[in-house]
Amino acid sequence: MVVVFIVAFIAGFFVISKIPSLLHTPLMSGTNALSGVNILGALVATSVAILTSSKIIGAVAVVFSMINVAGGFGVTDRMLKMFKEKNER
Amino acid sequence: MNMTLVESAVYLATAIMVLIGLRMLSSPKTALWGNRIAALGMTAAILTTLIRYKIFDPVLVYPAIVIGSAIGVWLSRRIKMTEIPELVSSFNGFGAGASAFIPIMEIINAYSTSSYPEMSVFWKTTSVLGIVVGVLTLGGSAVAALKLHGAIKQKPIQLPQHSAITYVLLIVIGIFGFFAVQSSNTMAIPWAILIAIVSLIYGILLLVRVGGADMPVMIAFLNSLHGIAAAIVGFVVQNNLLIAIGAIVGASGYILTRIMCKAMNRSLQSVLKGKILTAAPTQSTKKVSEVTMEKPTKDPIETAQEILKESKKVIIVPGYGMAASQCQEPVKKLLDLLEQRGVEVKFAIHPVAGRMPGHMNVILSEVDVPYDKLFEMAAINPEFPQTDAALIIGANDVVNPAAQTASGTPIYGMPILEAYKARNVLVFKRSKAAGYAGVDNPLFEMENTTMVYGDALKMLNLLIEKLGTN
Repeated sequence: MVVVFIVAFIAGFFVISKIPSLLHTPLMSGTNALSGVNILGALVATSVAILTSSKIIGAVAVVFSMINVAGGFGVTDRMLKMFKEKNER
Repeated sequence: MNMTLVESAVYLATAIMVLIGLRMLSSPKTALWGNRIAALGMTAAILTTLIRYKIFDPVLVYPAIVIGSAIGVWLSRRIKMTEIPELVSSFNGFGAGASAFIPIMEIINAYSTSSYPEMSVFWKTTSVLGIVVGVLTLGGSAVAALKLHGAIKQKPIQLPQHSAITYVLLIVIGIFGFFAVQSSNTMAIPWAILIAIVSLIYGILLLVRVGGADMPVMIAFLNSLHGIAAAIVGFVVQNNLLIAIGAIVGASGYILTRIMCKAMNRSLQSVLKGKILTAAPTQSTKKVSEVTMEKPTKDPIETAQEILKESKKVIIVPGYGMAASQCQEPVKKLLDLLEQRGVEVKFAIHPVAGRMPGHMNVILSEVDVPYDKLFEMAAINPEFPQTDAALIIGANDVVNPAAQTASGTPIYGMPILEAYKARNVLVFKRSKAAGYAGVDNPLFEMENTTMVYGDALKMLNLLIEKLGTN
């Protein structure tokens, strides 16, 4: 698992170094949405929860993660649609 | 069918899709689909997890997914482009909060089966770390979002002994963490909650003393922390995809933090300490105010109009002031007007212009400025000497030549847009105050500089009116 972390970090480092500053805001909102991947952990932990308290926290975690994922990808999509090469008039 | 194998295959595919998506983000032509591919990968991973763990919970999980998605989509639709920084910070906070909840749940789950003491030290340590990083990112992001939104003041808030308090809190977190790892089954949850509370306070204290203009660095930094939090949670729940994507996001945030720090000529530490305010006012402060007190002999709008009429090449330098006064629309109108007259117009974008990395590009794209007119610092700087007029709109520190000449000032060494090399400089500025760094800008006193003070929206419209009729 540590290997996965290191490999992914290096791969991410190289891919992201190539992104121009023109697109840094969408990059940031996009990666922000990506880190909402913790939804997977929230789903599994909620599904095995026995106590009500744990289930409620789990549901809140799922809501939070989904706001992060859906909102992040959504706003990135909206932003990137605005980038146009030529004046379209 | 072997579900574990399917799961691994989908996770691997998702990780590859995410990397391809990010690769496509390196060109504005492919970026839109890059984002969609990454989103698709994520959707596949979520669906696979739901099927693999047979999560068919119509009371709790599915409504939670629907509610969260609805809130997210609603927020992303209604937000103004100038408000993107606070939106991204809020999303970051929500996500990081979720990251912290997962280890808390895991600890509660372990408690409910009385298995906490049997868990490995590695599991306990990563759980504690997940809570710490997640909650402190949540607290920090909340403060950052409020600051960016203007709900709390932009100026750094310093408590007495601020540094000492933060160090003590870190030590307290360490001690509580140690106890949590050693804890009995019954004490595990109380320790986890205590750690969460102290981490939350730590995160808030860390961010309240960061100034508003340093937020580009902080958003990137919090973004990175959020990724790390997700990766730590991946270790807790033994999920490779969380680790992989968390690491990618961590790397991304790290790169952006570094770029922002370099562009501001600051170290991450000095940003975190809100240090810029300690810069002593420079000696020339008095002289400047005397000079600018002189009444301009001519209406500056008139002068600006004359200069632009004679210009063949114009570079526009937007800063946060453009977003603050919402004058991107007239900027675009001015662009059209100048281009109709056959003037070559380009935009020069400093990496830290705005409130988050790349913010200016998004705001200008929204008003249909084509992105092939937006230039990065290194690309545009050689062009200033051949430029007839540099039009500076709501920017200050990023065009301050003191960064190249005045050693000892806080911005010395900061890379700048060399607008001072242009034949004429037009500055649209709200007031005569110094920039965020508190350093006087000699550019404003140069002979070929025309200062246009006042609301940039109003002033630009005046200028457009004059240019249009002449």
